[in-house]
Amino acid sequence: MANKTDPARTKRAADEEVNDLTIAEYVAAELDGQPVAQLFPQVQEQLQSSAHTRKIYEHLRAIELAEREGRLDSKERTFTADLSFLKNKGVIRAKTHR
Amino acid sequence: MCLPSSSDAGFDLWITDITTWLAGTRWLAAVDDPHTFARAVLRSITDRGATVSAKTIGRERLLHISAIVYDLCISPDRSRQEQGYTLLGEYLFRAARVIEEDTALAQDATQEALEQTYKKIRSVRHGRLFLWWCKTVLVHSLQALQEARNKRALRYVHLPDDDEREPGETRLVDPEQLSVEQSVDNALRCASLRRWVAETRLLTPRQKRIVQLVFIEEHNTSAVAHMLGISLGALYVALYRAKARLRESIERTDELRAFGLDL
Repeated sequence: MANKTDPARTKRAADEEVNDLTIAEYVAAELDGQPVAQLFPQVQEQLQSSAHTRKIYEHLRAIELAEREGRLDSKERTFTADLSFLKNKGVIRAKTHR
Repeated sequence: MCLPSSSDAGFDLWITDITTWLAGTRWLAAVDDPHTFARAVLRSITDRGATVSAKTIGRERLLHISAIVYDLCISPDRSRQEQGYTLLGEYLFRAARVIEEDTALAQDATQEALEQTYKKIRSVRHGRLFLWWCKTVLVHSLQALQEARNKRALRYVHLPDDDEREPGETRLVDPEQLSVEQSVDNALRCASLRRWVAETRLLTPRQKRIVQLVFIEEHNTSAVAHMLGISLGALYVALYRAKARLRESIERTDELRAFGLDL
């Protein structure tokens, strides 16, 4: 039986797996001056091989820097969300570990 | 620095530092008692044996805020849930503006990120990391919208010169490679197409609106149907009729073809 796995799709899935919180953690560790190459070898590898991951990393890094410089702190209301999507389903309860 | 105890003057200074920070943010609305919040932040740092510093406080207070916002977003109380998503939206919008100058695009990405957050919130396993998780959702949304915008921009400006173009042909060229004259020419073509749609008697006002939104502004058909308050099926029927009218017009004149419309 032929292998139906699409390599591009598999690569994309791998990208997304790494992309999620791991890159955010990588960025925080990097800005803290930690040895990210040792702590996050998978992310490091992904950053070298995937332009998509690099873009996500750059955006998250810019946001994290702004966060640390206090640029995300504000009392002004600058955005009004359309919360109509909350009406579509019941309240979602998640299993959480705090 | 020594670990602070509740009797330390240093402890009081850090409490003041945290409550002052909180008072300067929108998060204040989500915190019941700023002093209790500040104490909890300091306690978390000291409990894990870390040094209390501006850096550790900066991280820890956001972890606490993250857990509070997460609890609001999953609250069975509708008003608390709305408060959570409202605060989250304001925060994500500020984050989006860091990497996107276009306010409208940043707003769209924020709204999309909020809806994605709502759909996927079950997968969040640690409330304390909720804001970081949301920021990754935002970045994905923003990137998808930026890519769509860039593709749209290419299609808008890449109408070839008349003397180069085969009948019905359109080509993609890097906008920066276009001369000023070509850019002006393209802008005029788009403007004249818009004017033609506005002035033509071939289309009903509703068809004009739909052609404007779908063909010229290139909005998603689902979004247009939602915007006009009609079903997707009704939109497709209106589009089909409008295109039939335009096609009929093209048979009489080549004017529209010159705009590069793919009918």
